Amino acid sequence: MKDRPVQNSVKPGRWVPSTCKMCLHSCSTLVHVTEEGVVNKVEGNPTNPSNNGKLCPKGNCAIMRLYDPHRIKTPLKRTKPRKGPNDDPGWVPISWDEAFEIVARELKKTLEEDPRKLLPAINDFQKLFLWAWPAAFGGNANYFTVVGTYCGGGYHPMNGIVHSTFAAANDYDYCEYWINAGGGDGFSSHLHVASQNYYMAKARVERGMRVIQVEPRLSIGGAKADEWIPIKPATDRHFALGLCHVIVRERLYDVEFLKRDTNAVYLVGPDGYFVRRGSDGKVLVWDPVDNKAKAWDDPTIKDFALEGSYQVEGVKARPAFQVFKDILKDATPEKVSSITDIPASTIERIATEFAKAAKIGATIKVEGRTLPLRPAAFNYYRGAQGHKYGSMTNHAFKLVNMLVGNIDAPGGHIGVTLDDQTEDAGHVWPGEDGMLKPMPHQLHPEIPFAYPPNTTHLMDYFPLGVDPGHLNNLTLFEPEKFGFDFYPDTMLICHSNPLWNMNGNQERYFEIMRRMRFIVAIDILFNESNVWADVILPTLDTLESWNMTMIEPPNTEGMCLRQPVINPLYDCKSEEEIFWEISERIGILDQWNEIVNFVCGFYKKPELMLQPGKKYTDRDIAERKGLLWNGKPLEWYMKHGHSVTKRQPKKWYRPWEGMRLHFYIEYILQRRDELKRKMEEAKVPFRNEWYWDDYQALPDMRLDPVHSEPPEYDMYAITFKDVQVNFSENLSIPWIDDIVHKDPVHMGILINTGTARKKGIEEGDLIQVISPYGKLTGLARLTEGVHPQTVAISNAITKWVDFHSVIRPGGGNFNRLLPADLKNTDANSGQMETVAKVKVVKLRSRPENAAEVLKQYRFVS
Amino acid sequence: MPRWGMVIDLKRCIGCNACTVACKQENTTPDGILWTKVVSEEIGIYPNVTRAYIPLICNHCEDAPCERVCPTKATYHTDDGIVLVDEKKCIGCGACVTACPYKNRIKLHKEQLQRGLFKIGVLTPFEKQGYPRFVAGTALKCTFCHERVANGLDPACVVTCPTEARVFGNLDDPSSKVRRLIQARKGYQPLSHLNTRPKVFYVE
Amino acid sequence: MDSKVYNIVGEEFQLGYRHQDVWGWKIALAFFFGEVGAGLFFISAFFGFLKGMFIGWLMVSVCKPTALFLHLGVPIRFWRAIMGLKNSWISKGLFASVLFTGFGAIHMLNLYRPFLGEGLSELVLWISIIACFWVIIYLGFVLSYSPSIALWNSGLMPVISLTYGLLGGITMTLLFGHNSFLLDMPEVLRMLKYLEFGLVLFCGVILVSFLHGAAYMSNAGRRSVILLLKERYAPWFIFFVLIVGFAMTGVLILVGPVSLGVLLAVAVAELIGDVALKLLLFKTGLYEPVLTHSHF
Repeated sequence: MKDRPVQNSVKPGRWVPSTCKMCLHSCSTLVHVTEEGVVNKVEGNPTNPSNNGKLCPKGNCAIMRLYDPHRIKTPLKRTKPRKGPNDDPGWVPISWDEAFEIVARELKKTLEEDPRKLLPAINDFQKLFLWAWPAAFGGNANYFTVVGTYCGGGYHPMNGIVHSTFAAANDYDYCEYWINAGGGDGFSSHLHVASQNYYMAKARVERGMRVIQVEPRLSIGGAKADEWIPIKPATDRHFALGLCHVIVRERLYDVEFLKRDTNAVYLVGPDGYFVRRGSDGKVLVWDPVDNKAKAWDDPTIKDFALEGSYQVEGVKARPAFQVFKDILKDATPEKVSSITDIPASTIERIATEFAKAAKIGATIKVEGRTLPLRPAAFNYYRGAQGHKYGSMTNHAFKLVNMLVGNIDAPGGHIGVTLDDQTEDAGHVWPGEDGMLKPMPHQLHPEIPFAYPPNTTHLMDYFPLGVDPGHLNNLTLFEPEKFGFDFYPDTMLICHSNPLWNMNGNQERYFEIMRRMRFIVAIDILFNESNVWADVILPTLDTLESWNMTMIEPPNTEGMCLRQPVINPLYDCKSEEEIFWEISERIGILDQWNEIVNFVCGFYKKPELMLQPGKKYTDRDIAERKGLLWNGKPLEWYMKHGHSVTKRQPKKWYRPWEGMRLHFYIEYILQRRDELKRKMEEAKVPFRNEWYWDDYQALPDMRLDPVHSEPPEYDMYAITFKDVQVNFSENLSIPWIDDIVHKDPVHMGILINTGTARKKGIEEGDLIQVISPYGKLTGLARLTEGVHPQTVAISNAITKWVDFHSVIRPGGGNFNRLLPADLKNTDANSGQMETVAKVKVVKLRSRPENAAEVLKQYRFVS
Repeated sequence: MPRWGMVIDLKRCIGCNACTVACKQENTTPDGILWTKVVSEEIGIYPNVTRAYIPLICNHCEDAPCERVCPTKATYHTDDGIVLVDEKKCIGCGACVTACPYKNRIKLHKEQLQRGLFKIGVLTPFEKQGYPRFVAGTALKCTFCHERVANGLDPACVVTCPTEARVFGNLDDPSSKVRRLIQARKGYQPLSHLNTRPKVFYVE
Repeated sequence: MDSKVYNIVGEEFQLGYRHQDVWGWKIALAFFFGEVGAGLFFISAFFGFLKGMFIGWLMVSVCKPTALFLHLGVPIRFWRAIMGLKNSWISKGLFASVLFTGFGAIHMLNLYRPFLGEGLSELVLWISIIACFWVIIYLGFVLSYSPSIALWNSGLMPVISLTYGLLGGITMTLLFGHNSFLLDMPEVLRMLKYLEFGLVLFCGVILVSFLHGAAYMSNAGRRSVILLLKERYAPWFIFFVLIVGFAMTGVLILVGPVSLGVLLAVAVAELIGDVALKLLLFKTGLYEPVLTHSHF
């Protein structure tokens, strides 16, 4: 037929095993490079049991990032003053030497004046250790970005408390009844998408697993599920409590599990704390057979009471389960129905189906270990958990699972660690009073209390939470009120887009940028945020650099190597080279090396530790991480690409065996009172405004404040992403643009057809969504697949940058609709409210040249 | 000689369009050319509503109308049933595009080759190594990855699909996965009443 | 399945009817020149009317290929189009066109300055007539051959081609010949006038039947007809095809006096109707949705 093949993967060349970077996670890839040195195909590596040779649409696009003509090719310096979001910065190319000189000079100035004056936004998830660099910068703990909190403010600490892990997922291998609340697991997003999609399809189609999707918008999951249950936004906790109510009322819960594996039997006093024996402080339980209170580990205990009220140590004491049961009185299906818009009969039915499908009492043998088999699980993620009462909300979801005893059980709801570091790492530790040690600080060590604050986002007052970076939008405009004795004037942005990802007033964010004396950005492409920089340091593409990573793998473990397949196309450097060079020049090299040793876990194998005075490259770090995992050298990884295997059952299933899980989280109250005391001692001026009530040991039925915005705002607005778009950066890829801008759900503001008709809105009309805090504009897309009181806005239409030929600016960013205040932030977890209460108005009918019209509105907020 | 066909499992497909992109990646198709894609349709009225995702691809029909109407015999089929276009013979009359009931064929315009994937007239090295196979003005279509298949591999769209919604195989082999799926899940052909005898089957 | 439930979609990733978009005004013009030119030659040939034959020949042999060349993606390879003779109506049509161009030219030369013997002249005449007839009708077969676009997939398509071809031929013959060879044949002139009127009526009926068939045979057909009669293209169809192309032509040719002005008006009206119909057929041709589910 032809002399030379025309299909890329069969042209003469070589295949290099590497790792994808188009989202946070690390599917293994095989990259084809032609004899002429052109990268022309990226496929999945079939030897990795995570993605099994598959790649999602993003993974198929790596080549387009490598060869993007808009890539930043040399360091650049700004020559025009910083003014507006769309102004021309007047970039001029400079040498690396000059760039480093400027950056080092400015950062050193900040370091010497007050390291707290730096606002970092470092968000490369595949190089997590970089997030710790500010700690080397004089102990800076600021955070000028929201990533981690938008989707995981309440999520991560609760996973840390219940499972001692960062994330959680249901067990694909054995689950038979899977509830997905407000999350795209297995269909569109979250952990290792190509992998989860594979296992989800396998379970659904080959094993007949039933999927129930509970969410305000018919997502991909909703479309594939056996049942889509539409729910009013920001009422997910109430749905969960409704399920709990029915399960408890019908006595369908796992009694044995609650009695033996949780602290549900611990007695709680009127102050919310456990009732302890006066003599030795041991937590007490009630033995209903012997009819007396005993210490929780008393060998003479014949049974544990889950219910009842007793006089113990002079106070009225109830087992924690009874406390929860009393809260649930308020969560009748009828009440929950009126809040969530889900019919009461549906709540009854789902609860009963779920509890029965959990097969309480069943067991299974896995690798010689007899484990409870609980093939029903409640999974949830961003949309369901992203509310003001973030901690309580996540806790409610955990309790649905706890009631049927499926925590970390085959078929059930299982904790997913962030970064095991070594093959034989355990991730659970015994805590006090027989309970699992709660590990809410999954991303970095706890930031100690301080007044005046050391951080601009008040992290000093979130002993349990994830960084609420959005609070910068509040505090930097009332610095006296919060008692700051410094004001930030420097910014470092690395692989981040804070102006786009943070909620709060848009003008304020622009103003913050204007107030900076110096901004350095480290990235591969321009985005809404880094265009404000003074100096841009360009980074290498994933096909040109090294890395070793594996984060949050739901059912696998190992390390994935990224290795360069071609020489760098432009004058760029890896992030590692950049950070190490800067560290040396400003005199923090040794501190940085020490921190990396700690964060990467190199201290566990001292021969791997970074030495003082030495700089390291991306290859050095990758090599060490591989050796740390399983002792294999870099050459081994270069040949195999990864060391991924299915996760060891001893780590996956009930690694905490013998410890009690936190059904009731007294730990939260302890940290609350500790913080309260410290704030009182330091006479922190805003201590009486602090939302102490956000700290609860059990969730209850209170409504998130978003529901009590003025009644003129009669609708709700939610945002969503889909499988094609993880980072907003992906919208710069032509192939992603091809499949997104023609996808009906990404072509405008989704509004329920019936609701639209009532408001006189037709398909394609220009409409504006207005909240008490901001507005955004778009074209109406009528659909039956969204709750009637809700409008849904894809994050694919919220960019505003003009300087990329592929990216399509929309009519504003969803985050403008959200407040950045303390009232709508969980004082416990830092979680911000991600649902907006809005009104929808029609501006005009079906405009001609809609794209141009929309651009006029992108800064109207 | 195998008779190549494909089964599309609509229960598995999640409309992610990884297949669409894998195909563009494999074949370096120019801007605006899609040889496969996944469309959706909303079914029902709130709250009883769902969405179906339907991958579309050239069906490599056994009685292909595109082949019949081609005046230059540029469109032909191989012994193993793959319908191909010889870009050296095609005159770009467009008859095949109007003849295909599934609108799976597309005419390539010179501007598409010139403006490049980033639409600014700059071609990436990736495009430079892939575009020479195309002739502006001719008709293009999916080739069932004929070169990959000749090398014993599955088409790019099949390999990448995370949910394994696409299955490729020999329709003449009763033990092949495609045959077994069609049998077990009652596979049907799209627009079968038009008698083009498509070799792509759908199962619900 | 209700055809109203599915929308007409463009490039969106949505199931629905899709417009035909490769055949536009260039190929519509090519079809037009081919049909009408061949029709003109056909009618003129019966009367040995050289001027008409020549203009018709020019339309088929020069105007049509020009329009085609503008349309083709790779026009330099046009000669390959004869390769698909077995199955492709386009190839068959090209073959006929080549035959017509050659033998038509010889016949006209022979008429102008006879150089062939009687037997050969007769043969050349009949070959050119048959090739000419073929050129008129093959366009209809090209459109109806493929099952993909419901609107076109009608058995009446070749008849429409033939009718419009003859109509165009008569119209142009009258226009060019009314003050030449027809001056001596008033009866023939009247017959041609009535023939034209009759063909207009006939064509009208065919068109109605054609639309009726399309609308009731399939959903895509029905959707196309709705586009033509009620929605976006209705004003164009009703005005240019029905009012100008049929009514104006028919009335003028029936009751109008035989003068250059009137006959020119008739020609323009009829030809506009012809071109308009072709363009509208291309614009409103729809592909059926590939898969459908039930909607409520």
